[in-house]
Amino acid sequence: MRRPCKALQHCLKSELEHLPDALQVHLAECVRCRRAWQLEQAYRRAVAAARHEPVPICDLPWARVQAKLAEHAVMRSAPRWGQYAIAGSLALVALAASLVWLARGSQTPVASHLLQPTPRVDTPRPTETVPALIESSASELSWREPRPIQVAAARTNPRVAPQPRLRVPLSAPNPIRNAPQEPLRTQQMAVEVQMATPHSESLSIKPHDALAGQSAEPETGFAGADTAESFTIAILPLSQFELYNNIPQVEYLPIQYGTPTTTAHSEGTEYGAIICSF
Amino acid sequence: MDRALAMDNLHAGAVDRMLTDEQLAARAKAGDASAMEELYLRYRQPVFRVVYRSTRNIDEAEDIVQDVFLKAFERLHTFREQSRFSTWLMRIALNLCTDRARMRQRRQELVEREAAHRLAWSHPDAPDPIETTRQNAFHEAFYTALNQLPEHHRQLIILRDLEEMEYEQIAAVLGTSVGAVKLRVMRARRAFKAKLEPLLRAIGELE
Repeated sequence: MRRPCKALQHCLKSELEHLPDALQVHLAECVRCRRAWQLEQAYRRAVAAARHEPVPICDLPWARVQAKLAEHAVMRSAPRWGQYAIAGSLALVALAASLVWLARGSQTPVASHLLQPTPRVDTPRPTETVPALIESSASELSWREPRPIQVAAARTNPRVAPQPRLRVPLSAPNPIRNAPQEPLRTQQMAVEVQMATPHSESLSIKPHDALAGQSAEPETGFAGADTAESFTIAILPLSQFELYNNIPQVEYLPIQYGTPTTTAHSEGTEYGAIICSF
Repeated sequence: MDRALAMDNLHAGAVDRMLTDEQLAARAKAGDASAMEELYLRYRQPVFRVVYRSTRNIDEAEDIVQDVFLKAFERLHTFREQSRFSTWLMRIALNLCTDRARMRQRRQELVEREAAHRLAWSHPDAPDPIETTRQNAFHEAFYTALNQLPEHHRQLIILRDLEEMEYEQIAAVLGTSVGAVKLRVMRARRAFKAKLEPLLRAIGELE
């Protein structure tokens, strides 16, 4: 860019209204500078015209603005029920949560007290209750296919001799012997349950043996009273039952009572009944 | 009784007119309605001039003026008197103009998008010089080019070239330095000329 061109640019930045004579001569020679100067002149005319364009008078009255201000003030001071409702709901939830927490906190010592290990009472449980339960169950239920169930139980404690086979006859007279036989849905089911007995005894119930009439052998590998031992409840054949309304689709696992009746097991051990339905 | 009340009001109005902007702002901050009114009457038209030059619509400009004073009086507690009240008020006005321009642009885009499906538009930037008088075409070209500018450039053209505000005052309104304002004004003018040149050629104002 030549020196007169730079000078013209400087004049344009400085917002000069009239150019020096030297630059006027240069405008006649340089097309680029002439166009820039013409554009600047047109711009100034446009700005001047717009500047002198009459602007209307604002007729907005103060009363309107004042009314709007008062309206906004009322809106701000008015209770916002939605926010109050949300805050109240949150407060209620927090109150309920704190009450639940307090209630649990008050129950915690009792619960821990209840969870304390109770000293074992070695009072033998009367074994007569088991046959009584069997008889009462048998009187309420009717076998479609009565089967004698043999449960062989053996105590694994080597200090105690193996228990004789327990035979619990659950044969009750079936009043509906001529009813059509339903196929057994499950012939055999093997269930192994690992349980820690209160006195760390081990009892092995082998229905294979029980059904075969064999006596169960004591399990090996259990050291006695100090270790957690396991019950093995295996192959409990399903039998079909009918209630008094003769609905044949109901199947029940026969109730197994594994409580030995001998004095060797009468250490307060309680083997509950296993009742399942499928 | 009424005459005495009217005299009191007149006297109070005269007192208000003698107070400076900052004193009135302090009284308005305390809830004095007469001070608010005096501030409103002082700055209603200057604010309206700037807003009207930006919108070119009286109703829209009055709406913006109302919003400006509502916002100012509701947020008067945020006025820290680090600047003049007029500067603070003008800053609020420019911000609201910017917001309104964005809304207007969005609305205009939607309208044009809808209209493009129905009409074959001529180029909207070039008004037909035959259908308008020369002076009207000149004004139309000027404001057409002005509306094509980004909002920050348009505000600078309005404040500096149309309202003839000093660079220092613009710097106070925009919260920046004088040198930065000068640079921004120069850029805004360059952009404005670039928009204006083809329009002026179209109407025969430029060779």
